[in-house]
Amino acid sequence: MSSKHDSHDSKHESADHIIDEKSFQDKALSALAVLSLLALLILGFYWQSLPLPAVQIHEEAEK
Amino acid sequence: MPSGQFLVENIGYVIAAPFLAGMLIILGLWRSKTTAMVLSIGSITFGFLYSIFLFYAITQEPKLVPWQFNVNWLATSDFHLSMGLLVDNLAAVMLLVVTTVSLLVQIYSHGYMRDDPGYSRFYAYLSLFTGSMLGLVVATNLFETYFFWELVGVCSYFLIGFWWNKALAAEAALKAFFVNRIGDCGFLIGILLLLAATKDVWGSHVLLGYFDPNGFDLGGVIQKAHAAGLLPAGLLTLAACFTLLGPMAKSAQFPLHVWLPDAMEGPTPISALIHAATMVAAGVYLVARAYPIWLTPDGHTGSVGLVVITVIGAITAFMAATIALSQFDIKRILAWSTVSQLGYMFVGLGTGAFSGGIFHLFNHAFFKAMLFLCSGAVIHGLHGEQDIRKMGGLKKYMPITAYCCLIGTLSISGCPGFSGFFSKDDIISSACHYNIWLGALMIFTAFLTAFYMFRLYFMTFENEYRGDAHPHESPPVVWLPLVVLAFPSVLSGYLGFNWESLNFTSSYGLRFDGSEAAPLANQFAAFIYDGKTPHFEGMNGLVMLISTTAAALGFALAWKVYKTHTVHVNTDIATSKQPLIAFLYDFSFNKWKFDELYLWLVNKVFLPAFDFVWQLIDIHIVDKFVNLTGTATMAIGTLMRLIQNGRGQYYAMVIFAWVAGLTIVAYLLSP
Repeated sequence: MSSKHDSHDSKHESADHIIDEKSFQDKALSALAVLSLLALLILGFYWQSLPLPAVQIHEEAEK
Repeated sequence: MPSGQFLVENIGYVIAAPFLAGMLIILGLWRSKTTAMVLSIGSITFGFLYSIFLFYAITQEPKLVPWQFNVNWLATSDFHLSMGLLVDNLAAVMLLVVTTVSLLVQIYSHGYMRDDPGYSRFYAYLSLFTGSMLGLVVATNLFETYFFWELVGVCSYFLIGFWWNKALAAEAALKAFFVNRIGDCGFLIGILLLLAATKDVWGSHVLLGYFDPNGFDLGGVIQKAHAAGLLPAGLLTLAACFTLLGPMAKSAQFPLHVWLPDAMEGPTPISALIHAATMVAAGVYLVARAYPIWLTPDGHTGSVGLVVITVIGAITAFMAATIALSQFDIKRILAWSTVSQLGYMFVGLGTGAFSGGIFHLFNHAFFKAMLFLCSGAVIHGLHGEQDIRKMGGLKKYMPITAYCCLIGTLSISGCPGFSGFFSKDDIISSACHYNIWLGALMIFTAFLTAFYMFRLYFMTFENEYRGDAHPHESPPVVWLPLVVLAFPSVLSGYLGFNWESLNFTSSYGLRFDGSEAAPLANQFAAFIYDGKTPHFEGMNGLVMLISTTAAALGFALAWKVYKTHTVHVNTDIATSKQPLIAFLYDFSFNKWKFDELYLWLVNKVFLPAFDFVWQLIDIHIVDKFVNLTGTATMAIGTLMRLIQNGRGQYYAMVIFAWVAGLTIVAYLLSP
């Protein structure tokens, strides 16, 4: 009986361990997604703030 | 932070990292799902951060680029092929797009593919694909591009057929493979034609290279070869048309578009990454990268090559939009919309709106990847259901997915303020400037786009739920990438727009007449423009108003039809007593009958033709020649058998006869 209990407990602990690991992975990846958003936003606003260069543009007249 | 020069010169690590991750997973680390995921996502995170720092470095020190590094790949007595790395502004933008979408798709995949037994294999393929795509982006010449072009094609084949035990997936993978080989065959012929005509001009420079500080790049060499009489305009056009077959197949352009909707049999993250944002855009990227091939020999527009690009793009954009109107599979509707939007990009490049075409590629990558990931979240939430007739009312159950999908729909429809509006209007304005009927067709296609996209949105998320599953919102690891992509789906458009330049009174508000120096219209064009490429900045106030009105009409019609009458409308139209309406619906629903046409062509034309050639050459010539050889040998053997019968007396008699004969001859001839 006792050994059955032990076995059950160890399975339970193992399942908990897997759930914890999955949860940790999910949280880490979610955090990575949020950080990537921050990086993109910073990059976007930085890009938009750059001065526009004066460049000669030659539009093609031919069709 | 590392110096700009260090970042530019070590770009190779960005390409090598995903390759290494993919190889390590395949070679044994697939046994641990966590290790496979960490390796794959780690390598692409590195690439993403590197691309951001690289972009920053280039904007800080523009003189760092273009930079290239080459090594000999294959040497013959006549020429040597190179392989290397090219970093310039165009490559920097593409690196950002590929690494961003790949990173978010890989994060999403962790939630989406969690219970799939092929989880590790999936990450291995994703990494190999990402490495190949990044290699394609920084390739220095056409041969290297072709090398990576084939690698992304193979990865695409593996990923479409990822669930190879499903017959449809295996067939779709094969179909994609065949159609792309047709395009690639043309691509290779085009490259070889160019090489044959120009090989004496290249000297020791990188053969068919995109950049050379001394003018020995594609554009410069084509001009030199033309001036030397080595490359007549007709031959350049021929090479351009053959080469274009590659981008046409890869970017699913008419008539090589048939593989992309079927490719939706692959996992949804793949549809988002490969078949929406990156690989299918590689065709557009190649046209932009090797633009001089499609210009006139002296580097101007007005070439047959650009006309072909424009016509193919316009037909594709319109055709795919009409097909998307009547489809019911959520992923296939998005696939047809991708085909249509790629057609817009081709029209942009063909009509000279170089930055407009690339800008639409840039915006489209974000909002289309998001739309596909939304469709994946819906399919995941409905336990595999893909038919929008069995959806409806999902906004109540999965609000985050619904709002992200709405943002994507508004963006692709060209709603003012969303990213698709800016780039699409740039292309439409350029099309109007090029030819008013072409512009009208593009505007009508914008109307169709708004209609079919809002049809999808209303049938999926509005009204009452019509299915029998238990819909639920996905976990954060799945919906967060959608939210992240929603931001560029709105904001990236502003990089290509400048309010100060908008001029409603002019015929072409943002047009540059080329007569005087002027600031570029927007940040995106300023970054992409290389000072040589023909360039049209034509965002026109009037065209903008008309195309926005067209999109609004599309939205209003979809609202009227699908918000109020839901799904019965399709049945009513399909069974209409008006023969024309029923025919048009059937024509749209059956994808303009292209599959049937190709099947007929294969069965009735190609296979009989191959059979005829086989009969003629193999049976009547080769086989008969081989048989003749055998028959002749047998006849000679039979003859020899009569002489060489193995009897000693016979041989003695022959010897005696010869001796006697020779003696008589000698006697007769003696003086």
